[in-house]
Amino acid sequence: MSPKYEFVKYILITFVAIFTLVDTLVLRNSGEFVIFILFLLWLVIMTLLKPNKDIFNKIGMGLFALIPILVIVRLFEVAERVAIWLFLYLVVKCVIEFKDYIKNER
Amino acid sequence: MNLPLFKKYINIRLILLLVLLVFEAIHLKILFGNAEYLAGGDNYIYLQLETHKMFPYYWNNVLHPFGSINFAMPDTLGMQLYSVVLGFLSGPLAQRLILYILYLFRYVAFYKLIKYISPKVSVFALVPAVIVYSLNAFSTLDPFSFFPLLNAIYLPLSLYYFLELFNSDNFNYKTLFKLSLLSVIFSPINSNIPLAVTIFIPQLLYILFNFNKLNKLKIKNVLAYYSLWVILNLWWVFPLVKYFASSASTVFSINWFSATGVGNTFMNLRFLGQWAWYSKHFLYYYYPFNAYYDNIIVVLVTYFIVGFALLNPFNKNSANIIKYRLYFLVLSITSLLFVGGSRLPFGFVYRFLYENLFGFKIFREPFTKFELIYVIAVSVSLYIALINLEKLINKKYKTALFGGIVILCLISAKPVLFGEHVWTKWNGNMRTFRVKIPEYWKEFRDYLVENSIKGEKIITFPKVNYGTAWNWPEGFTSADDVAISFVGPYNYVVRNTLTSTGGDIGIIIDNIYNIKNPNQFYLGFLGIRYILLENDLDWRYSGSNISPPSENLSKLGNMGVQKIKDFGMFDTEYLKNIPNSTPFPNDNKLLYTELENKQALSLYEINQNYVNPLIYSPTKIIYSTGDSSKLSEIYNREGFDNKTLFLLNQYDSHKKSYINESLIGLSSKHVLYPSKIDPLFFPERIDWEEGWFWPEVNVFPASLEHRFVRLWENIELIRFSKLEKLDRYIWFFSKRVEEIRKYSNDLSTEQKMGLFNDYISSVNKGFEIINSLPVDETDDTYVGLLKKFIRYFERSLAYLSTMDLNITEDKSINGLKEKYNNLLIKVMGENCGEYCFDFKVPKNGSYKLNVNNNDIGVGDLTVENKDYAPLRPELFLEKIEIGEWKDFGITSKFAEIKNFLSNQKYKIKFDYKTNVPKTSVSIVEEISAEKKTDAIQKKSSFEEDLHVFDINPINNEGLKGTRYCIYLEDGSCYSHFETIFTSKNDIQNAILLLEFETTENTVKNLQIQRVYEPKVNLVRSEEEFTEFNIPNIAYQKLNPTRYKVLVENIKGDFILVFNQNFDKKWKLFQQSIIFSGEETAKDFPNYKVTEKPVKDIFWDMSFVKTLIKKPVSDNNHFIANGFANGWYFKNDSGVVKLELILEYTPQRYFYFLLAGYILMISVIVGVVTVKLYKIKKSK
Repeated sequence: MSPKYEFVKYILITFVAIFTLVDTLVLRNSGEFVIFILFLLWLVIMTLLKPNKDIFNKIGMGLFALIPILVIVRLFEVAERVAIWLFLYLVVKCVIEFKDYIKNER
Repeated sequence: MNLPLFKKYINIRLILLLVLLVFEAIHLKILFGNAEYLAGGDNYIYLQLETHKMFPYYWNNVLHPFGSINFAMPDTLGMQLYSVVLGFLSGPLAQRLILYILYLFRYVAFYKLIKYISPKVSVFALVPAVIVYSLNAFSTLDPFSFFPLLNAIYLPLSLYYFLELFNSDNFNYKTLFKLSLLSVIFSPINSNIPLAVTIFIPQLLYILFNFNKLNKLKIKNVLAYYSLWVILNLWWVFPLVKYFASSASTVFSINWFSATGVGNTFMNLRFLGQWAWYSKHFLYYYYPFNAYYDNIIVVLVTYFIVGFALLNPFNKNSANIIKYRLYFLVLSITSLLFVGGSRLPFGFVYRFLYENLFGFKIFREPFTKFELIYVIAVSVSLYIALINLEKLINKKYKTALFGGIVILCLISAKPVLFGEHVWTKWNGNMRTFRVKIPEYWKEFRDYLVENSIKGEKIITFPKVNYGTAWNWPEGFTSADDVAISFVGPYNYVVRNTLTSTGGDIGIIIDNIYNIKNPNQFYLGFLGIRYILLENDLDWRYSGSNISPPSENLSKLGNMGVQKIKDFGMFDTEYLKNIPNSTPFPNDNKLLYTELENKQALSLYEINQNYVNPLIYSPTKIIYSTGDSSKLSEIYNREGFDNKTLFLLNQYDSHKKSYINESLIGLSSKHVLYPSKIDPLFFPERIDWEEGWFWPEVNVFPASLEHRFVRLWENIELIRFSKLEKLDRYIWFFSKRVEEIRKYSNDLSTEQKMGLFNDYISSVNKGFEIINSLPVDETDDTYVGLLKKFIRYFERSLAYLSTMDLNITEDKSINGLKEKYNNLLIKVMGENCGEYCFDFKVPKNGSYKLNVNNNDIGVGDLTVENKDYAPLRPELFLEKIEIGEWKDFGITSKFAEIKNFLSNQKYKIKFDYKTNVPKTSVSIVEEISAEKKTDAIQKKSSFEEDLHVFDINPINNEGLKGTRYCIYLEDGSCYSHFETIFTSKNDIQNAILLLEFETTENTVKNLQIQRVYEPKVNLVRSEEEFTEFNIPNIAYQKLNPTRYKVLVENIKGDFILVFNQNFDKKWKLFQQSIIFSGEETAKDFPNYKVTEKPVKDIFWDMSFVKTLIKKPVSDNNHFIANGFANGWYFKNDSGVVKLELILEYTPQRYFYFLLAGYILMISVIVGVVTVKLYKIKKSK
């Protein structure tokens, strides 16, 4: 992962870790623990791939393209998981773009 | 042709506007079809466009026949104002105009927002974005609902002005004024508070987004806006706060419908996800066009549009637009988070707020409240993404691409374009939204006007529930009684459509329908003068127990009321036009047999001698502890006349004291309903509930893995809530027992004892928590967990008793049993048995005791020492005989239950062996075939006739789980079973069926008893009581919050009753009043009361006179007849005449606010004029 996106990793790990742990331990939804592991895995893969901005955008498009296909083949549970991933992806995108925006403003 | 001039005025935006004007006209035509109105469900309010009346009062008689705080105050500037302003148009035309403007302004508002973000508006990007914003799948949910349509305008418009205000470089008076004005114009949205507050979300987010840019000026602008908003909206906030503070808490706690965790993120992404989207009601889906959105092409198109908008693949934004693009991206994510509600995985905060923050419960449908924010965010993002695309493409292909994108957007909008989202089907109580009002309703309305019927209470028969259907030529469905749209603004329809919001008077009204033979005296006593028989109400599909026309006619016939006018006739030809698509042949036939040659509407009048005036003085008092539901019972049984005052609910069972004690001695009778003292619950009647599971264990307790299990259990105990901890301990001790059971052969005695000790420790921890908590009867979780603890503990003990552990003499287990017994004592409280009553009386003396309508005798009771008096159980329980036992297969037995009756409570109890595979008990109820044609039919096992058998699911009680061994007999362990059940309707006979799964009979001491509802009351008749002399009364309604009352010829003490719902804020003031030359509108000679003509004076200077006056008799203001206002006047000074103003004092706040607004506007206008003058002068 390029230094540009490095900080995102920590913000998201903290955020996702908190919500997943609260959800898993307090509200007893162990299924969310799987999301947490997968998310960490994703970050590891992204670190290994060292993606540039284009690849990052393509990941988003890929996620978005996946949802209608999953809806058409009626794999709704998987579609929901992907939608949650997409949501997280959009959060990442916002944080990255917001940081850029602040930098440019300065 | 003058081309430059043409070019000057005709530009692309004007053409676009013209296209929109024409398009919306056609679109509206499609939506309406041939209908007169678009109305139905909650949107029946459009029918009131012909009322032409505003109600700027804090007390409202239209919402409630007996008055209530005006929680619909925000709507004053909504449909009420429109009905007045558009009074020159017919109702249908006015509705068309309103909808046309609402639809049109939705586009305009969105355009304004876009123009602010990108001043050089691109038509290429605008048209698709507008289509997505206005005609998306989310908008299919409410095709013509007033508040969502208003919101769709206000949300973008308020955001646009907010952006302008926030980004301005001066203190922006102009925008502040516009924003404030908008908040007033759009104040009707506040009738739907959760929807209304959503407009602040984008604004607050924008402040956060620009947090680093906040400076004094921006803070000043924003604070000025929100302060102005609060000040300018106080006029409707006040009654709403009062309503929420009083009634809403009750509403929240009763069956509060909630859809906080419904839907999916993948659906929300493309504007879908309403709770009922894929739900069916009766014959059809709520949204029959839902299949369209599942079409492969539509799925791809709808996701493509949203994906394109959010991902913005061709990022060529200018610096200014980047900011907004990013802002709307953040807004879309935030709104998605809100839309998700309490759904996983991000919903825990929402869930916490929903369950713990008072008032947050109004956000019970997050999708419908927040999705529009997401829609607007996506639509603006789409616009920005399309601008980028436009920059990239060759001009040659631009038109083709534009056409292609518009087609894609139109594909996603097809159901909206063709009006498929307007409901038109016959579906039980759902009927078409395309409504044509039958002529007879208009005739009824005209009749009331022509005959000057004004200020009257009209009760409708049959009862109208929320969501009732009417058999109109096209059909009609309404949330409220349709009659309210036709009785005019000054008559009131007596109804209680929603039980949860009806209050005490709601109970009283419902009782009228529940009585087999209601009488006109009682209706008159409540001040009801007319009865409207609505034969066009579809009794078949409008809730349970709605009586058919023939039954209603018979009831009215028995009442002896006089029919004064019929409206409309259901002849054979007319009935052919009424949709009747029920799939049930009997129901289909019923419509014709019941309605043929009957009048559609009939108006009846109650004998005017029996009708109580709005303000009157009663002659005697009946003092009772019965609640409002007992009013008709006391009234009818004791045969009192209408000049009687009933003081109900006079015993505070918490304080154990009587209310209005000063009136006890004046009362002619005391009718007491001793309250039953119930335990927290009956421990022996706890059923093993559906959601309770006995643990399954798969980890060997001596393994290393089991250490992780225990570690995880310890982590799970890290909780703040004691109740959650208790739940965990229940689970853990059950697991230990199950581990001993499952791995019994593989564990050493030492290992088993280790698990056993853990079991003891967990149970003890459970007892510690229970003992540390106070008994809270109102907390369902607490009570539920106590039940669960008891049943799991019993079951665990039962399992332990069958194992090879030598624990019978174990001190710790005996200690647990002792704690268990103490817990049962705690649960039962001070309960003195099953039929235990609080017999505290208000006055010493002899009281006639009546049980289940049987006089038991007369006995002396005193105030001091009769708190509890157990009654003989046989007064409430009747032993029921069981017939001869017969075999049913090899392992089951059955017997007839003698004299089994419908709709009765029965108690069954027996002891059974716990060390057998299974024992289950069922009551099989026999229903005559003609009564239940749709049930499965089979032959009776003991009669040859064809009958229908229905196993009452409530009564089909499998003895799930295993209970604690209560006693041992002949080496067998026995437990006790006991339950109370209710028999179904139309029962002819019943059998008791026991299944054993063994040839042995494992049941003994079986008993069935009929349980009578313990109707216990005490009546004391006073030989000496005060009979009040009634004075002469004249009154006049000046407006809903103000009455003139003249009381003359006063002889001693007297009581005044005001037949409107009790509110402490109704006050009486002494003030000289004049009825100058006023003729009498109504005369009530029996009551010595005259009513002057109803007036409608919004404001009069004489209103200020009461401001400085102290209210009269305010300490003696009480609830009369269970719902109304009553005042007791002690006439020590011997006055003979009283001139009074009866006022609902909160209305003063409205006047003050109005004066404040006028002053504020005058000051602003003054300041602006001076500034303009100075500017002009300086020039």
